[in-house]
Amino acid sequence: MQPHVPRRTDRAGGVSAVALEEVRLAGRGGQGVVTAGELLGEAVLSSGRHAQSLPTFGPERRGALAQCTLRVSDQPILLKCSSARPSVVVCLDPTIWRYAPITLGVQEDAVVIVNTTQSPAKLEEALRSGRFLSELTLERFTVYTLDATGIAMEAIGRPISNTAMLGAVAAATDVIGLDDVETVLRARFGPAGEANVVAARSGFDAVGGGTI
Amino acid sequence: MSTRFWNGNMAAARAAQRARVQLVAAYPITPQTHTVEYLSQFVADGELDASMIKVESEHSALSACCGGSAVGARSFTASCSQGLQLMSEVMYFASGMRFPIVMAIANRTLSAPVNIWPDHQDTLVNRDSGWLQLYATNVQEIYDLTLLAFRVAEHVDISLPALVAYDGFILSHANEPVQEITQEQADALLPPPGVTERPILDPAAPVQFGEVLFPEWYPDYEYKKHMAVKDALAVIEEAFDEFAEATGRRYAPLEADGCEGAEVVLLGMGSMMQTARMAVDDLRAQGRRVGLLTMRSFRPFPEEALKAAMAGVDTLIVLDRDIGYGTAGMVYPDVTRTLYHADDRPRALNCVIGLGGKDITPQTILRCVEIAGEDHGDQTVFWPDARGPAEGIPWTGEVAPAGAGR
Repeated sequence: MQPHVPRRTDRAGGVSAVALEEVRLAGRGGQGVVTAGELLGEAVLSSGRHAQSLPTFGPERRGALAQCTLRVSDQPILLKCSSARPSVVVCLDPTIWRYAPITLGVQEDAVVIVNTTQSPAKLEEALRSGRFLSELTLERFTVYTLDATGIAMEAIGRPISNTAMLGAVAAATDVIGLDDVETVLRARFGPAGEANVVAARSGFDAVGGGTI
Repeated sequence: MSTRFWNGNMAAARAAQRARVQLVAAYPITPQTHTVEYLSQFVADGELDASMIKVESEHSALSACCGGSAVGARSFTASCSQGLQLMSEVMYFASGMRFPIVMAIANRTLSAPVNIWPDHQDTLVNRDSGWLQLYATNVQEIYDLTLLAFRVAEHVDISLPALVAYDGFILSHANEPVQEITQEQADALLPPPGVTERPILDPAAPVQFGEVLFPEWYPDYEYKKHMAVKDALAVIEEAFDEFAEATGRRYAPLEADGCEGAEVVLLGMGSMMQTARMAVDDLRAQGRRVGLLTMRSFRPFPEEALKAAMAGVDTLIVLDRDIGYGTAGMVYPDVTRTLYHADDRPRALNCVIGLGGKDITPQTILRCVEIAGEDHGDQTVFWPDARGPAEGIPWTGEVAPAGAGR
């Protein structure tokens, strides 16, 4: 597995931000996209870096597209806009990438992690095909896939994929480590924390051998 | 002191809790709704000892706060957009009866067309309601300014309601690190709740509020209210000083950064000023002399600080996230009025940006700075992001095609 190295984010138009990494979380309302952003941010904070999680909303409703941008930096984060140039995209839903442009603005060498039973190769082909609203014309990007819904059903008994996907983020990127994810899950969910820790670990293991 | 990862609405609610508010009455409206839900939860969980009054509208919410404030209770509400407009009538009663109510506003534009995203239209159309108006640029400031708003509003020489405004979604829903203030620190910064020297309703010493005032005395009453708003500036500065000693976080009603001798200075309020900081840092790295003026207090208006920041400035650009239809943005007129009589009077331009949540990116800010170096005749008001996304799309001015003077 290739480690994911944070890079300078060129925010276009000559504005070279301080080293700032952006992670986009996407899914449907009710799947825990916003919560996943908060949990990731808390984990980043506890690792001593700065974080900002910014959900992008329309008039909210269950089942519709929900997105959240997590910004990570060694310095306080001044950027207060919803436009993003993510280097990591995490899709919590098996199908919404077909119908919504969740790859908008994604940078070269991106990591894309999708909750699906499809293989990474199959998904990469779909993302390159131009047949779906999420399209990647990048030269290089890495796709990881995992059946996070299946993992969640087994570990938690509910199809809430977010904590399994956090485990996958810990495995596929260096945004955060699995230890930090486990710590925030226990702090946030109390007695239900352990089941979510199991889901996160399964998610971590599921992408351990992701394709390049 | 610990670091929390709170969204803006939570920061406002936690500040109200630290202020030991005694009465909360509010009505939900996106994107403010969390604030009231959180407070309701604090009361239900026994974390906050306050009366939570359920109401059927924003008009009733602010009316209930007036009732609470009339008997001396520390009262808090939250709203925005159409909800704030429904409150508008009562806002004048609150300031007229000199009730130091504090209100959190998750700024959202006004319909129609229906739009739930941020600009400052909702608070600025209530400019002359007699409320003090503070604007936060990040989530930490929402927390800090909301707490301090109680102190300023309740100061015996001021006794006016205050609102703390923060951009909807971009701050209300964004989680950022927040340094928590301990209860002991908060108690030291604020007077005990419910203890006040101002007149309150008391059966033992009856008084009357909001009675008829005939023309003979009306101007005198209004003059006192006018002066109280002006005098609030010194009270805010004193509160900021004491807060800095307690927490290390220093604020100013108008924060000047690198303005002296600058070719361009950007003045504005709210979250865009942090994004502007990024753009300005970049310009400075290229050797450009660009200054920033972050306005945290719009009412009272920091006139002297503004004049003082203009030494040697060539062009001042006022960034307005709002529009006074047919004229200019609503911050611009106060700025130009103040500078008309200043010794150092720069050229003053106005950029209307970010209406209805249009994303204000560093490129939007850079575009505003570019305008200062272009020849647009005597045109002063520009709409740099009114057509197309901010990224790489040519600006549009008041006159199309771009570049034509007026």
